[in-house]
Amino acid sequence: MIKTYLLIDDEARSDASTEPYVEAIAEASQGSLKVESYLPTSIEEVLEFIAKAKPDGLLLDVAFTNALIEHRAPLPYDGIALAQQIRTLQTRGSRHGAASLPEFPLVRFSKADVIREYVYGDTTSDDLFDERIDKAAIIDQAEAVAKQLFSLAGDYPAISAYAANDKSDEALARLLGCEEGFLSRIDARALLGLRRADAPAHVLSRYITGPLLGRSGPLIDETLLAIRLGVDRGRSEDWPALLAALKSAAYGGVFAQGYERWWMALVIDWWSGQIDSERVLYRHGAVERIEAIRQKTGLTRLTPLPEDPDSPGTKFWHLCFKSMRPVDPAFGFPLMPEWGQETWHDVDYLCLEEAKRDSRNNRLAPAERARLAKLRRGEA
Amino acid sequence: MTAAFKKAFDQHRNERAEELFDIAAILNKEGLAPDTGPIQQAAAQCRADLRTVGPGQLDTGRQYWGFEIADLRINLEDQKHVRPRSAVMSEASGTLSVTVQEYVPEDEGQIGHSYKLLKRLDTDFFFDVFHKVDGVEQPLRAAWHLDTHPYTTTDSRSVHPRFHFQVGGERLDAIDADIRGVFMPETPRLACAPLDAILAVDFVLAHYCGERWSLLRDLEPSYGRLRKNPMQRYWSPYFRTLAEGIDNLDTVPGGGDACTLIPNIFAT
Repeated sequence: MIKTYLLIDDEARSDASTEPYVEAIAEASQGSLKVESYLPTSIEEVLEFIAKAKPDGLLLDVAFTNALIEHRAPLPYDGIALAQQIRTLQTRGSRHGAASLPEFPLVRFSKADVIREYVYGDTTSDDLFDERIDKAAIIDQAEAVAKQLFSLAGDYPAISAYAANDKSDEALARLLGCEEGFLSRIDARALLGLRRADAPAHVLSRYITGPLLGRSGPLIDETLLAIRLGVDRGRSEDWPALLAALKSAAYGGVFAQGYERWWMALVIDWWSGQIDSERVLYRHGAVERIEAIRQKTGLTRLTPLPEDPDSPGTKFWHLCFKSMRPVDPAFGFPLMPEWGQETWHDVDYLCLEEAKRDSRNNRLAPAERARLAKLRRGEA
Repeated sequence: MTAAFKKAFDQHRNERAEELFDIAAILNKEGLAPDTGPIQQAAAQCRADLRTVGPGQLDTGRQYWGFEIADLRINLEDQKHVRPRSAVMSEASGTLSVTVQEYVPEDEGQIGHSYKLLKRLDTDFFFDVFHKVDGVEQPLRAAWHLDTHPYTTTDSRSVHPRFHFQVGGERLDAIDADIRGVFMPETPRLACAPLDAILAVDFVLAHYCGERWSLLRDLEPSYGRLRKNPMQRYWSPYFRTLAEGIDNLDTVPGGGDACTLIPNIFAT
């Protein structure tokens, strides 16, 4: 089924400005997404148009400086103000049944320089949007963006239904695409955001795309999955086959189509059930992990992550926050949690080389700085 | 396994996972561990598929479950009265590993009898500091472990209490060639009450982070509550076995099970 997004953009009148994005999304989605452009006028007219158009989702530009009203005056509001008004109307609608606006995903859709000018460092508007996309990403990562947009639009009704009903374990398990019994294997703190009684659909949606899928913890993405299995993806032709073998650990809940993730607990289960019941995954080095996988699955075209003096060790488990190198926690440098990072999230790490380069990073705890200083003394 | 039995058994394992999540949250909140990921991973293992003891091992074919905390770093306070006195302790962190394995209960009544069902409880801890000799930094390492010795009835050259605390061990391999002036034989192996993950973390905090541990005791009621359950599941039966073995030496001169805990307990 085709999902329709409405792109509200101050450059919508000039087709040359918005058309490349509209076309790129439609093409990357292989026809499953349709994007219609709309030039903002007064906020009342925009809201009325949205209510009539009934889109499956909105792409919102942040700056409306090129959209002018009478006497060529600029609009007295921007995309962030519009987003807030839409969220308020969605919440009122769901509360009072007035349904002035139904729940649908809001996606911030701007160029990086506009974001720098309007938002830079100010996170107060982040929660308004289900996703924040740089317009340039449409050209570079069109397929991934199209998948995200499709899954957001497609699964929002499921979240709305969940929000409107009793948030039972059964309903929550259905939302997350897992068995009810599996919920007890997740840190209860990680599920609190989805058990909030009064939360409207867009708050629940933000919780899923943000804390749950946006940071590694109970769920991990493909990059981290490869690191934890010790696989050098770029040099492993059997990586897709290994992913297929790990299907039982794949996240199958809402937005799964746009956000491929794996339950870490089920990856560990897979390891102990299929590969090695005696020794847990994280006790092995990359070479041992690959050897064990090869023996049990017959997938021979897998290459272990190479050793790297800039990120020493072999029991890789994390991804360097800056260099994106695999990190063995015994040799990496954990960073103190930043705002919004929960106790059930994985800790961010710097690899050795990045820690040396950024030794004044204020997220390095005193103990880590001392460790780093000691290493440097040893090298001197 | 009946449905009710399975439900109660799953609940037992869920509770162990929740304990681990809770201790991880406390360590995070108090800034006592830079990364509690190893505890989170261990919690994930609590409900993994059951494992079976392989051939050639004690209790071959018997099913068990368990978890493993691998290399959890804990921030340590400066230690006093250390040797060598020149050791520089500032901002050190220790590395704790814990393995817990418990046999599957045979009936619903056995659920929670962790001491009786215990397969292995191994705890391992070490930390590194340094000192300067003739202006050159030399590494120093402290290491101890608490092992389970399952073969308590076989003879060995020195006593092997079922749960024993031992200083040194394999963790000293890394600095073995640098050791001077201190000799460490494998003995004594001190009989010790078993430590599961919660009790092992508590042991380390109590011994190496005394000030923070006292604050936890006074200001964090959930910390005290968290320790109660494993103490009751492991320590109560451990000390009861010892007390009964010693009290009843007139009727059971061999000491019974107490003799496996402390092989010195026997009367004939």
